[in-house]
Amino acid sequence: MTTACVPLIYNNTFFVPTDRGASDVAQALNSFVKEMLEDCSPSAIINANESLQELYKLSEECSSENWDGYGAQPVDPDSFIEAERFIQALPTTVREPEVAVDPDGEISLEWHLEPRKVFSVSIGKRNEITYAGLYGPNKAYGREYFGDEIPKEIFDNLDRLFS
Amino acid sequence: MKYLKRFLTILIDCFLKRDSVTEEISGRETIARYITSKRWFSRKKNIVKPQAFMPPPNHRLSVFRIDNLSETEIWKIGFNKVISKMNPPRNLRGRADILALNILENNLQIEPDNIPPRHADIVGWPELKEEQKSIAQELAAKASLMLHTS
Repeated sequence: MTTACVPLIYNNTFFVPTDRGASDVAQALNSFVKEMLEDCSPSAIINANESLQELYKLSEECSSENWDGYGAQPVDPDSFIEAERFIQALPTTVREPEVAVDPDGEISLEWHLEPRKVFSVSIGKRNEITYAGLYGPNKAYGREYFGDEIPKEIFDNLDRLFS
Repeated sequence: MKYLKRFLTILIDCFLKRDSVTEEISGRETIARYITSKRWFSRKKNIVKPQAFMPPPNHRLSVFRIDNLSETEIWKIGFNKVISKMNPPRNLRGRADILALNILENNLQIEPDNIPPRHADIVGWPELKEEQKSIAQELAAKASLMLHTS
């Protein structure tokens, strides 16, 4: 019987998993471990932290009314808390979003690849997420409830963006 | 004395005409949105971000009509009529230039008020925020980023 045992040294950046097992099961396990390591890569974790740092910085920068000179509302404290929760709930495999503040004070998270390849979510105060994406000539937008988990539609749109 | 008054009127008319724009907005006209936040564009990618076109709480997105003006005059409007009027004053980061046609085809309207001269508002935004976001993405994708080089 083949046993999947992930040693602690897998956390070490310099550890290279071996693929000496010849059986199908061993190879399947090897590919599973590789995927898992990618999922837990230090760079992904640092990226999530960067988005959070950016969120904290922005909430200070945009804490007063009219922060943009065009009458924008200050950062909404409830939206800030929800955005923090959203970033923390993002899987580490998802590329870090850029953080911004909407004129109505809601926190917005954006993935911008090119002018016509962009996806953005705005985190509302009542667990409501509004999103919009532009994928070449196509577009999608909608509204979802953000409960315990990030809604599936958000991941579907991210898949569409990065595919 | 009457002669001087008439001459003065002619001069004023001449200057006003020089800086005036037609009442009707043509689709080929260039509209500028002055950028006051460094998060509204990417210098590296040379793009305008959708945030630059998100409507403010009053749903009137402030823009300027810049046709027939030199670059110097366009930046002058940004500094003298936009930035200096803001409280507290902001830095002028750049501007997003877009054809009026690209605004109108998103079912928005451009409402000129000429206060200050050449000023207009983009109005007619949908109530739903997700639709506003989608339109802002469209506008940003079609806008050109202009950075002030001094």
